[in-house]
Amino acid sequence: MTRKQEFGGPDDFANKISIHAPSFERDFAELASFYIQLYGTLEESVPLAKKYFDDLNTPVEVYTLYQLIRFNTKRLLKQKRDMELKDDYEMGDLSNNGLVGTCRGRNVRILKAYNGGLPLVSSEDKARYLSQQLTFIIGESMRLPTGFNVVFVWDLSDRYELKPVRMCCPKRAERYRGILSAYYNEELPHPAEIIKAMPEIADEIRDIEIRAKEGIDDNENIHNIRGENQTSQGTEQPDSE
Amino acid sequence: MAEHIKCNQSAIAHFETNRTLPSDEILTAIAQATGVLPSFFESEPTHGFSLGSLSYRRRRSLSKKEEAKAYQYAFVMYEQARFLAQKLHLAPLRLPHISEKPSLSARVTRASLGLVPDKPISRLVNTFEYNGGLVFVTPFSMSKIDAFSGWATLDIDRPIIITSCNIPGDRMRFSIAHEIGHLVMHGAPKGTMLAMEKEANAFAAEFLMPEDAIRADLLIPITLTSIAQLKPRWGVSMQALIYRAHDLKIITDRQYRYLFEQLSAKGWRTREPSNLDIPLEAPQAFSKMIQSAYQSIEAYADDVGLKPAVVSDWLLYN
Repeated sequence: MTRKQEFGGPDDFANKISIHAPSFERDFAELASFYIQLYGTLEESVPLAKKYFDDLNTPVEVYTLYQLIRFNTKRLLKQKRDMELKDDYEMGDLSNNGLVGTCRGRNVRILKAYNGGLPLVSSEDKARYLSQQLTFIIGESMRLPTGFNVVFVWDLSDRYELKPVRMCCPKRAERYRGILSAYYNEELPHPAEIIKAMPEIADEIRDIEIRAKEGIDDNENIHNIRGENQTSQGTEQPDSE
Repeated sequence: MAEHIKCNQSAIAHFETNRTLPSDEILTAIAQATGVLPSFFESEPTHGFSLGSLSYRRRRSLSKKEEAKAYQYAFVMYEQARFLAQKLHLAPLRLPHISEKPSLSARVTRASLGLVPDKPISRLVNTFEYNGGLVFVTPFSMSKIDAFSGWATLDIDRPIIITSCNIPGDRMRFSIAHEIGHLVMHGAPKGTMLAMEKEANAFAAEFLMPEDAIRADLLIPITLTSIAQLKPRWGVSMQALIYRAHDLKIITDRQYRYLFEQLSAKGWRTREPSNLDIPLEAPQAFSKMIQSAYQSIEAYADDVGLKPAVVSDWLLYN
């Protein structure tokens, strides 16, 4: 069978090609539960790392601070995974204390921002990892490719407080020059802004036990709203007896 | 008002302070402007509900005008409830009077209201009303008062809580728990207002977040993310959870300050993230009282000298 016979002509051939492109909304929805874990862990790790310097009563040395944050983040993420039985992510081990893992079949890296922008790329391996081309899918029977690699980019403020994390899907990166372009690079909301309010099953609303007294007519033998005795004939002053 | 009834402001001030009685014509105009029938003004006010019986929860600089407006609303609702109570058997009262420390008082109160000691209270207003109390929500905003309360004579002495319509659900719940603390512990005022306020706050914290149960949830290290995850479960604000963690010495002074700095930086001290909003709880006792005593709102309104629209407005919130 020739290509023409198989696809029935140039127009039909074009119709059967689709592009598998990264989508921030889709990727974030897929990775949101991991991001909530990650951000909570970074929130824990930053004060822990700062405390190291406070305990020594020495000024913060930033590169050591970053290393401590990475170390604590990896340790706590692994701990949480084991304790809370979160089996949707796995953290890997890198010789340089870097943060790498997989989440729902996706490769994920957690990198420190460089001068407030996208991270530096220090090795050819990392540059390859961060360079990704769009995938063309022909026909319907072809298996969908796995998701694109994503990077969570964290940073600290001048006061060493955690800034909003960004999620980036890199397109092209070069060693020493860093990530040169990205399919998207979005600031993420704080987890408190995306956690869904899922209260425990609320108790039933109980019917309040209020019922009319038997034998009382609407306008008989009761005091009106101002406390006067009221009868069906009209308003009277209460007996002075 | 002066424009509506075509007289000057000083005349209204004289009517309000009983220095001058309005003519029938003016009384009719006032009735029209305020949504009541002229007969509403014809009799003497009820006694048995004094300003002194209320434990106001104040913020700074509460104006006399706002205080008077809140009190007037409470007074009118009390009169309605008292009137309706004559026709009704109301729910058995199970709210205790206790003169113990706030934490113990809160635990005893939970038990008295039929609440288990280690679970969040999912329906606070319903629990209070089911156990013989009444809650009214003001149809107007009270910028300086979240809630206030008092014991008032209906069929028997019953606890009444008035809460503002303009506060978020988590704050409403804490305010109601705070007022329950006043009602349980401060039937007879004791100590300074500040001391009673602190006791009521401590009561509310233990009542809504019992120590043993909340300790199991407030695991260190505490972060805004972990606190946010607890908010929907306990139905209290993130700030209340941080206070509680500090109060129970789960976090240090420094961590407490750090968390509050983070809240401030994100603007969450004034408005916590909307996805975590706690739904407002609507009172039901007052509407049930009307339903049980009358065939219709119109029949009730006619009987008490109000326009049905006024009653309907009240029932939107109550």
